[in-house]
Amino acid sequence: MIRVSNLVKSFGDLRAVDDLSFAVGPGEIFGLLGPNGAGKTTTISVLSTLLPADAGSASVCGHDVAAEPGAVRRRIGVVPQELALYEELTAEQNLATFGQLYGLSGPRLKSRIGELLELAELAEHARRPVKGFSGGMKRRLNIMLGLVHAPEILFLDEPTVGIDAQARSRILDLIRSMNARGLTVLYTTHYLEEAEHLCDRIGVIDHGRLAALGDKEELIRQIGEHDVVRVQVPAAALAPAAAAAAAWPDVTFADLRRGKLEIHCRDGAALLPRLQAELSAGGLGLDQLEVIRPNLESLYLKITGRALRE
Amino acid sequence: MNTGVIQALVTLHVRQVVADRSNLFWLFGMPLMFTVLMGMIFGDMGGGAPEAPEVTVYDESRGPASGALIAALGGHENYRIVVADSAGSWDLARSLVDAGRRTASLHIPAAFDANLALGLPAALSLAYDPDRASAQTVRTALEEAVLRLEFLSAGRRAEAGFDEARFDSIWRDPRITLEVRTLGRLGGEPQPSALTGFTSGFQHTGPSYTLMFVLMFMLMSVRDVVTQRRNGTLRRLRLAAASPWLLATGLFLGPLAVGLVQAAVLLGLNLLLPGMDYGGSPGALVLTMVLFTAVSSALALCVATFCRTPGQADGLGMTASMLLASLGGLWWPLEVVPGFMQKIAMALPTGQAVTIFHNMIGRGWGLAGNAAHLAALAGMLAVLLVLAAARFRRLVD
Repeated sequence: MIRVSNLVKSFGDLRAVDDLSFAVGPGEIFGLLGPNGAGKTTTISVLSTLLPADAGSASVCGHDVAAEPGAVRRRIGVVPQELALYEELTAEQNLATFGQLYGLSGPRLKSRIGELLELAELAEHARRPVKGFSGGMKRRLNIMLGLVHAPEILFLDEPTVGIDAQARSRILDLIRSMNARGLTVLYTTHYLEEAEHLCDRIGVIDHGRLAALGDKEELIRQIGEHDVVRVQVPAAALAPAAAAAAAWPDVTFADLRRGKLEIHCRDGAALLPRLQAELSAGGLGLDQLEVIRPNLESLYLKITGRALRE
Repeated sequence: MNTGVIQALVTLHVRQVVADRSNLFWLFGMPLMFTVLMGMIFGDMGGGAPEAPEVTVYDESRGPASGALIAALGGHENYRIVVADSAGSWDLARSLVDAGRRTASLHIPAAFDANLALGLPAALSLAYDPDRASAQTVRTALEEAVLRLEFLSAGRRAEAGFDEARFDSIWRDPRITLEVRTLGRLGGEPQPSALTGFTSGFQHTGPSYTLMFVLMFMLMSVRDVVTQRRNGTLRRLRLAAASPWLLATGLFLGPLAVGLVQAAVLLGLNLLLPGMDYGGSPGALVLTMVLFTAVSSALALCVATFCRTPGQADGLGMTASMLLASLGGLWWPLEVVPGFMQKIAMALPTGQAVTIFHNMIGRGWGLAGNAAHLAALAGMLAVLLVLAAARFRRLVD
């Protein structure tokens, strides 16, 4: 459905998208995961024909975004990061406006509006001005505006920014439900847990480049399947504890990092009783202990050298 | 041209305007309030009964016959005789009638008394606006006075009894001839360089405040475009509307539609004001309002492309509307400003539009008489549309 090949887009000296390549299949939820400024929105802008690429190519539903922008636009829906709504109008009027712009009218438009309001659980608020809506309701309506013309692909650019956990959960459910009806989704986010729980495949993007690509398991395999155990012990015991731990079976790494003992092992939970026993035998206690299972955050840290929200 | 997209964008603007009920006050309430208030301040309604219309007499003869004639004309409650101090210019006298400042002007030439004394023909010239009741009264009174003078100059007292033969002779071969020129809306040739004046304050405030508030509401909508740009709705419209030209067209026509409704309502309600009418050319009236509203909408779109924040939009929009209204003669008649300011006004759409209204109301000129001003408005529209389209394309691409 989407094919991106060596895409480049610069703004002056800033290379916002740098040799980006990926593909999204039909019915897939594909996540572009990266921090602010990574190039996610620029990628969506190029794919939705709003920005021309400097180099490379991209096609959506078999149509080249540069050569056939009209055909691309008819097949895509775009949900921008901003709440791109007319606040003084009602939810119904907002949907009607964009429906009319896409050529819907009469009973077909009315039926589509009703369907979308039901889907977004906004039917009973259809005739209320949007300015009175909660943040979550506005976000849901924002998504529905991108769906009014029944596109084949939906581009969602960080659609959960600035809302609470409950509202976010409803939106993710909504996206899953639309995907279950056959909609292909390109989803950008800087929330790891969203990408992890929602997306079939994830592309990690940083400085405009694709740093990793695959499903969750594939990505985690890229950093090795080991747990990370971080232990805070009295300073005098750090070096001997690290030396002892390095000798244990299944431990692939044991050393000091940022004033803590860091141990990489196949099973962190199984290591804990032994670690505690060794320290007790030396008359030492544990001040602080942390076991990190392999996840996207550790992948991201490994790839970029910084936490996602930094 | 995708008319569905255009229709959707126009409907969107109308929905936005209607959604905020306070807009009704800005569209209609405020303009009407100002029209009435300022109309009363400018004249006719502020100081009790209006003064009787003036008839100017230019007496270059200054003899007993001309004196008798002027005396015979006096004493009417429908008009007031004003004898000019100097002979002045007959062209000026005519132009005052033409501009609606005098109901009639009478010219008594220098040779009038002498010719009558010598038994030679003597001519009088009357310029008057036949559309005014007072002017008709003047003409009738003048014809009576002339007849009376014929009898007097013939050595017969009018009251001495009716002499049918003498009357026949005077009637068939009058020595005093009256040359009548009808001016104002039913007569006279267009003189594009002349500025007109009104006899009623409402005749100025009605059209000029309509123009001002149409322009002002249009420039207030600049904020909407800037807000749409900032909150992403413009990008969304751009995606849906397919081309920047189509989007720009929709954003131009939406305010134009609202502006035309506003103008129609205001101009219609203005007709309820004393002394208000727009002359006899509905074509000129409609074309003027369409062109002026279109110029305002194109200007608003143009201004919007220069603003990054709603605050800038408010500031620039308000400044532009104030400058165009004041310099263009919408706040006060252009006749009261110096010549160079009148020239500046003619470079502005407001100055052109208000002059057309003055010509329609004061002179009765229609499409032909106002052709130059209408062409100027059309030219301004073309320039602004090109500029707005070019700027807008850069904004959304």
